[in-house]
Amino acid sequence: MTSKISFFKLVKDDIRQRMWLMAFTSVLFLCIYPVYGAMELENRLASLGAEGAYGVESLKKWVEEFAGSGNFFFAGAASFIAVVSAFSAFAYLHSKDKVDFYHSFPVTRGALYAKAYVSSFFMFVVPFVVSYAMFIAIAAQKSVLPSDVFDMVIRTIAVQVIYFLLIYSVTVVSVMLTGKIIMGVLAAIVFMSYVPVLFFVIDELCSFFVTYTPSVHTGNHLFFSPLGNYFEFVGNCQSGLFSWTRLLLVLLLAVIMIGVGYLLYRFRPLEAAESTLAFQKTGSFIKVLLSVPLSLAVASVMTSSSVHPIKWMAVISVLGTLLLCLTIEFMYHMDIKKIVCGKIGTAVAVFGVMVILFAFYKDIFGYDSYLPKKDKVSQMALLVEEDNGFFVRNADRKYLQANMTDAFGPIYALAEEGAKNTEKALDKEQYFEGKLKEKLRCIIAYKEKKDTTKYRTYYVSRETVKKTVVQMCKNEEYKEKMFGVEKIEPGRESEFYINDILENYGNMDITQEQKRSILGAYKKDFKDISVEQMMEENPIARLEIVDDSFETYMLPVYKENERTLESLKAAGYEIQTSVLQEDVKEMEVIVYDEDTDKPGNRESVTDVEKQQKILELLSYQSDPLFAEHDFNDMEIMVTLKDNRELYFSCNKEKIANILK
Amino acid sequence: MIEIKGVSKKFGNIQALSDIHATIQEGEVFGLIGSNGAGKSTLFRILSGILRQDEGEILVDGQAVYENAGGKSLICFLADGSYFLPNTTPGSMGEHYAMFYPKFDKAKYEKNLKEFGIDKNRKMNTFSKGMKKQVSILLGIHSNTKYLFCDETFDGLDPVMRQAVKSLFISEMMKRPFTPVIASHNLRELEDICEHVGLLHKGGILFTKDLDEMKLNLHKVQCVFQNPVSEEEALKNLDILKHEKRGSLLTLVTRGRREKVMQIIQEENPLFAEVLPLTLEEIFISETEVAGYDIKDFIF
Repeated sequence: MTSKISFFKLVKDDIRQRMWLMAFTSVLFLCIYPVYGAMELENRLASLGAEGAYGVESLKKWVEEFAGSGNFFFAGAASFIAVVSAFSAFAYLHSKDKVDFYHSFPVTRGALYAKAYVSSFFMFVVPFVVSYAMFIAIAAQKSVLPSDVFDMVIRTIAVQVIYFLLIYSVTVVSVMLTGKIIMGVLAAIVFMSYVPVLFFVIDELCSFFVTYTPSVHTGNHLFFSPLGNYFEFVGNCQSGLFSWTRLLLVLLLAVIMIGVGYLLYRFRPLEAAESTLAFQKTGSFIKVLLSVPLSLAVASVMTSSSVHPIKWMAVISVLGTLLLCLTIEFMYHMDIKKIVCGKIGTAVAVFGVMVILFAFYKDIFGYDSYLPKKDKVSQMALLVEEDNGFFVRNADRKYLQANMTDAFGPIYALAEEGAKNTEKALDKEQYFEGKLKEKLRCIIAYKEKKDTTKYRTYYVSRETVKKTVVQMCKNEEYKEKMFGVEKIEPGRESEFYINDILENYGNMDITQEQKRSILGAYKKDFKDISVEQMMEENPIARLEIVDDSFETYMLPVYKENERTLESLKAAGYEIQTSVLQEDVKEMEVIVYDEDTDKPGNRESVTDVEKQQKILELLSYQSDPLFAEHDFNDMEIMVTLKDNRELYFSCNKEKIANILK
Repeated sequence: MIEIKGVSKKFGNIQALSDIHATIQEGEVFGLIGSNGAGKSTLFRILSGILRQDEGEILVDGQAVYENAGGKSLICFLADGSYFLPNTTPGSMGEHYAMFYPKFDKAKYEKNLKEFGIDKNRKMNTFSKGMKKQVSILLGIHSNTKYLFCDETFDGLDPVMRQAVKSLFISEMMKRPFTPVIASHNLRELEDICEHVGLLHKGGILFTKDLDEMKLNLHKVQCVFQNPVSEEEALKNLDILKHEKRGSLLTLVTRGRREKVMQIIQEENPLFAEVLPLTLEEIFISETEVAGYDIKDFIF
């Protein structure tokens, strides 16, 4: 190792040689922060006039968004600079002449590696801090800095610098593992996308399992990509979800990657310059690791709309793997005659794909038959996919985790029925075709004593579901959690919608106070109504609430909900429970063809008496909780005098009797 | 002194170097001869600490070279490829070398640039191959390292420049401890400068010998004997490497001191006997044939 003084000379010399990078970075960052920032600030200030104090506050909010850690534009630019910087620092390893030149000098690899990191870091941080500081100064001069400016600055610098280090280090590892620039670029792309692709493939393969529950496994796979993680973090910052813990973990990962890069650099055979891979012995291993998930991913995408996806997935995966292996061998040797080299690796890859597909198709892991012993389970949760639109939830996993219970006896019995259902594959098929009638789709969460949670989807008879829910809802707390009513809050941005038999109203134009009043009344009414009632009775209206975080709640309103009805009336929304004869202009009965399920005969009902009798049968179009929709219904179309058309379903026999 | 002990290096399935043993004494010009693909550049890269040998050991003045800045500071390697920093000039290249070699003599370097007719401020990407080689050699010499490895450095130089460079080498050797090691496939190029040569062939070193010693102990003699008996007697008493007869003219390449060889021949009363000068090529051809290699294997 050279002396300390000469190390800084090395760094200085490297910066001088890569001055083009520093110039480019400086111009790019100047364009983003002071130039674009000042321009946008000026535009917003110009339109500030009439908005007064509110306008200044919104401008400060904008400054916080732009100069904060949630700036996607800057994240994109920083990522680009990180990749370019890594290649410019170490791409010399891909040229034999350059390797001879740089490595013949009396300096250790450790010094060269450290020099490249220090100079690249310097060439990022200095332009970033200078351009950022310029924007902050401009904003300060205009008096539009947010109150927590110091916090904002620290967070922004921390996020951008740490993620720069991560992206840079991962790219350096890509360069270390390869011997040609183009291969280095491909390797970098692989590193940035491999784990998300892997998770995608696992998700797709798991769809072979009948009891697999995709909705609870919708984790953000991009989290596992360095770039994806960066943008996801920036997105979280935009939503106000900054996490120092996560950022420190990213820093730790970056440090680990720096270490990995150093080890690779230290042991990299320099004769690998201009070869495809730096470590030739890893060739077969890399081929298998790349070809298997990639072919499965491509096959999944190509067969997503196939009538026989499994068959075609097998064919495309196997052929795809073979093709990829041949291509990779060509890339290794750059010789068409050598594409058949590495036969063992190719065979392992093809065989591997076949084994994986077989394993998932035949469920050799016993995924679908999984049922833990009752004494091994500490808690369970139940989510019923209610097809009548009651209490719809947006995030299954969150719901299940919030509804875990120790008193899970009835849920376990339901799960047992579901797990032992021998027709679950057929039920799944019918469910997705919209033909599942006698059963309901339920998602069960098993929390095992070792604290792992497993999720399964079952198709269980309505009777069992009703029985289970009745038993569980004997506990008032469970009932409230199950339907999620208690946790609804009328936030500032929340929206309320109401719909009754006449499809009146829609988005409610009410004050915050009125929202609180209606919701408070509903919560009290909900305590009074039993689950059994909900399973027997049709609601007369539906109150829909979309809260600040865009969660939607569909709340049925029953005729017994007097407090709710009063509050709605007080807010100017009186609920109608029937269609009045005097409001009807026309009525038509539509018979649906049982085979094709398409509208067939249409019969106009003009007789006033008959119309009245039919109107008495009509109700707000929602079946009771967990009730099966009667597909033997007829459709009644009522045209009101204001030309609105309402559609109702009604029992065919009852209508036929009236029309006789 | 550079000690090469049992060095082997393989690239995939290609055995580039196989069990090389050699010693390069300091203060003499060492020539590394070998055909294309013999392993000269590979050996240089290992000696310079760029590549790591698979087996064996390299010691430069008792120090290992690989990943040892101290050992590497004794060496300056001029690769065949002659890479220079992008957008650079001879002047800035000198500064770059000075950063790594504290003893770099900038003043003398610039003086010699001028003498060679090279503008120190001109961009190197406008230079011809020969001019780049000149700059490369000057950088190497003025780094003032103890050992200078020149990989086919004289290629691309015109005869005048070649002589000028040779003079520089000799001049440096007289002023300080300086040992150039020159690799080439051109024997004629090395003949008048090298004192010691090593022959590399297919990754192995056939021999390393002192050039003068080789010339002193190997002679080409043309003679005519009076009768076959005398001829046979003479051939029996001489250490013949090669002999050729055209008519009655016998041409021999024989080992031994000149005086001794002539004495043996004169004892048989030849009608004619004359010692002819042997070129380095002829010496090598003879030596390699003795070693069992066909001359066609060597394209000099």
